[in-house]
Amino acid sequence: MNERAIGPEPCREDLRGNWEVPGALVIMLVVLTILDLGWIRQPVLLLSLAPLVYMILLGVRSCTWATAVAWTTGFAVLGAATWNWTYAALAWPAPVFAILHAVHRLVRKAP
Amino acid sequence: MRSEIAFFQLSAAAALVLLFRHAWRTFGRRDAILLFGFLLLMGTVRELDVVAISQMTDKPHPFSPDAAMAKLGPVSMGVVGGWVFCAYTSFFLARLIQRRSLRGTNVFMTLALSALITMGISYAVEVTGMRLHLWDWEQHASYVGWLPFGWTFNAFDGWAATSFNIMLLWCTLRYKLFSPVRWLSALVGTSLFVLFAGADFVQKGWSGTAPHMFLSIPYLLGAIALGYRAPAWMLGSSSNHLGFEQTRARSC
Repeated sequence: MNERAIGPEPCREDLRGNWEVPGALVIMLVVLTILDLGWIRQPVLLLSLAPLVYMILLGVRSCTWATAVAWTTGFAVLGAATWNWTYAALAWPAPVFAILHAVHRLVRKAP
Repeated sequence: MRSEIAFFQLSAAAALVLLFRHAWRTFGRRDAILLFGFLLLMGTVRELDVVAISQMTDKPHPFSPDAAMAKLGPVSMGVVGGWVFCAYTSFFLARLIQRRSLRGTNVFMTLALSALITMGISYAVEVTGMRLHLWDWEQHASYVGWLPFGWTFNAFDGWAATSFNIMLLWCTLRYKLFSPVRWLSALVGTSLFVLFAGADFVQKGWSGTAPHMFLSIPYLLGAIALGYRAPAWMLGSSSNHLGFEQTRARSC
């Protein structure tokens, strides 16, 4: 078991048994990417997929604390570099799920 | 029909076919048909609810789908299909996340997580959909200021609440949540749903925040609290049907 993982190791059985759900989401991501790039011609809109991409990653594999920190830091750097701090907020699922998991650990330890 | 709308709707239909296949494999034919029939019905009810609230409160309809979107009477079937997609996908992606990161929690936590996931779906779809004019929000819509690209507050608030409430009602009716007595369980679930869906009917002449928004946070926090502490009798048969027992027993 990976000690750094927020949750247990990825369970391949889960993914094999539920592949249609991430599959449907991937179809959606591909369609939105094509629309953003081909029809609207604004590649920057691809950033709007980021919150969902993080949640799909959480669903299909275990994310470590390092992943959450790296994701948040990445968007903070993007926000700083572009001087547009709303880009930093695109990382919102990482801190939200990290907090939820920290609460989860506390509640599980409580008698 | 505009080509981008046709492309969007055909891809959404393909995704829905995948999801129906998942439901069929997971729950069997009867339950899959029941669940998708229920989701289609509730998506339609949701759209009619929005129209009725607008008419009764003399407020403009918050959004108008493009005329090229598939319609059945006053209801845009493209939007209804979107609710089916959102509710189902969010709920089962929430189950996947829960099995990895929040083990030992129950169906109420799944519902709370599904609201968060729906927000992610909503943001991605709205940002692109608004620019393509798949639908247009009313002129005076307010926007979520802390995120880029202009996400309307109605979408931020409405999408998550819709998938949460639809799946809460389904789980209550199907798995007898809240009470072991079937009619009492149905009564509690339906009351929670009707209270939320009907809250905005009382806002005629009301200028402040829409009444349903006073319910969103208590519903979400309530679900998280019950996700940890709900007694077994409140969970009905959800643990068996949705694989919570197996999750605890299985070593990944």
